Amino acid sequence: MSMPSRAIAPKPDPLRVLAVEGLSTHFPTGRGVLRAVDGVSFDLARGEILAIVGESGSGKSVAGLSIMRLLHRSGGRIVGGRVLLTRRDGTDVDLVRLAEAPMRAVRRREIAMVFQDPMSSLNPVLTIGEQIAETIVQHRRCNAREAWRETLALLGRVGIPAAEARARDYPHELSGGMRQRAMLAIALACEPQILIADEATTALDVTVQAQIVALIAGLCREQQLGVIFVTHDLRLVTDIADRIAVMYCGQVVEEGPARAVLGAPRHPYTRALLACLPVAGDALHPIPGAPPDPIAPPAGCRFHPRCADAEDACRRAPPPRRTVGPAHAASCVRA
Amino acid sequence: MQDSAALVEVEGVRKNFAVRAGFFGRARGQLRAVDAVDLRIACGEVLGVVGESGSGKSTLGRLVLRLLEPSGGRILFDGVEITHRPPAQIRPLRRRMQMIFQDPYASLDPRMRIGDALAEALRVAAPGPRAALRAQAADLLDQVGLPAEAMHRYPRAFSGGQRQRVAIARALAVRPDFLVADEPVSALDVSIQAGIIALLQQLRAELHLAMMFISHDLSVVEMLSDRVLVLYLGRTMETGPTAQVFAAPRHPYTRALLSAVPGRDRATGRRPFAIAGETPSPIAPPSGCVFRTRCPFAEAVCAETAPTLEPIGPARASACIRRDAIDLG
Repeated sequence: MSMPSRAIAPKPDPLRVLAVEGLSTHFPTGRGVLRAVDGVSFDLARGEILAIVGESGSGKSVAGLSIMRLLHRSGGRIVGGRVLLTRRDGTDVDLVRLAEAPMRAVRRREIAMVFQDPMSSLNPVLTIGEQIAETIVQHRRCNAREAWRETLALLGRVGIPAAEARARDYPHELSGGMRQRAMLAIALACEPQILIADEATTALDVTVQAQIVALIAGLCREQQLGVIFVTHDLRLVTDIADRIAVMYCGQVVEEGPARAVLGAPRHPYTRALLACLPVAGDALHPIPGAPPDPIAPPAGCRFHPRCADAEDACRRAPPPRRTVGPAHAASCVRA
Repeated sequence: MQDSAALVEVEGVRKNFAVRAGFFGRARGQLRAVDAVDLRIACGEVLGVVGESGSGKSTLGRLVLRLLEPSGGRILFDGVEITHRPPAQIRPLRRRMQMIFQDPYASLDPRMRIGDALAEALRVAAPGPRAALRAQAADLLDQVGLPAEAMHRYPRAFSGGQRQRVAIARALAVRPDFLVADEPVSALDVSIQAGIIALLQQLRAELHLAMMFISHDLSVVEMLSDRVLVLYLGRTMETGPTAQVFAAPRHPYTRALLSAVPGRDRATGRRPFAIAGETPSPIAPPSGCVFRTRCPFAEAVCAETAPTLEPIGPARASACIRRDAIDLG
């Protein structure tokens, strides 16, 4: 698998920073192969927020981890597809085929990731400031004084008040929201092109969650970061996402501009998800049945056992991905 | 509020926890988890209790059921004072009050088949022959939308949503009048969550069940509750009929919570109302109004006196002394 990064002909979209094509990630289990991510494709542009939305088991988090190739510990393996990263010099590199050493550089310089639980990513025995400064020194090879100055500036940029004092705090001394801000500061210290936020606000209080979502959206616009916002909460991305990819049982079933996906969804699962959201005065319409077993997914369209509109064709063959509007696609025979 | 049919009445209830330095350390101070909260729930009524972490909402739920003994105030269930009653004397009432939790797994015995667990709960409520109890258990499962063959399965064989249905069935087995639901849908996927909310709506209508519905999610509270109580650092910020409070909040914290619901401001045409910072430590709450450190309208006076909950119309109250001077949009 390890071969030198090879240049691939540049794509037409000059803003594109990431192209995921037919990505498949499998996990061997005692019962059989779990196809957590099964042929997923999407593009990400600079300064754009792509929300990957799905319920538990949809493969949304594994998609993010696959891009970063952080699967070893969980036993997952990328078995197909490409993840094309456009580097700053304009050349593309396929992360799936990149050797581990240059991949580490990609994780350090190109793509940063923040998770739901910042405590698992922060070093408990170093202060927040030390961890950020360390990252800056590694990244820019500057001296300690410059790195410290930059650290305080970064803490300010992610909205940590009294940066001088907070920089000397250990992770356990910070609140959940402040820890997540510190994680974002570390992520930004690498000056990445892409930020992947995996349920990064899920564990926070609602008022703090709103702050962090706004912060991530602001950073995306200011720094022209490409942001992949992985979440189970469709409501959370209504205000900030440019585009939404809806995942179900390892596959993207609908992808398009946020306004179109939320306002005129074309896949029955997207429509069903929206009908589940609690809105006062409206009756709730739960989706019948339960998400399928990803080890033995239903034949044909994976949503067909729960779909009110399913017909014979849906049971027979996987639905084709259809273009249903400008930059808007849905995998449904009736879309 | 002269509803004679009050099922639950709570007056000035307090709960303090001693804060210790280290495991065996001497008490350093008191954490006021719940501080002088009043509430009243009529038969068949649902009170939504809203708050973020540290608000004391779960402590309040446990106090109302007397799973915790209050440090002050009074708790009455169906007119009987249970504030300091020993457990043996509360037990007869306990059948009439039940609780469901965020994690239903914690309240189910993993080694017991669902049918046996339900039959046991039914037997406690009304002893009867085994066959009759099993039949009732099947009826209960049907009532919560589970097939009768679920009787023969163990808790681990169920998904999260089904398990919450089992926990609800188990709570209903003793025919309670009052249910405390502590974040019962927070851990569930939205497609599953919707089913549980619909089930709770249906059950309250069918069984005339009174409920205290505790949640951080205002949209869910809005769907289920008649009245709402907004808690912050153990104090009531605002209370009133849900529709009124959500349409026109009279406390800056309520307004901020509503604004934090994604998409809500846009849907209602309001300007965003974000607040800075996070809930301060309940060990050292701010002086005066506990919300003042995050309130965009706070003035010097807010730091001086702790505001009391003042009536602002029929069945509504707000604990903001500046409520008439500020524009909450």
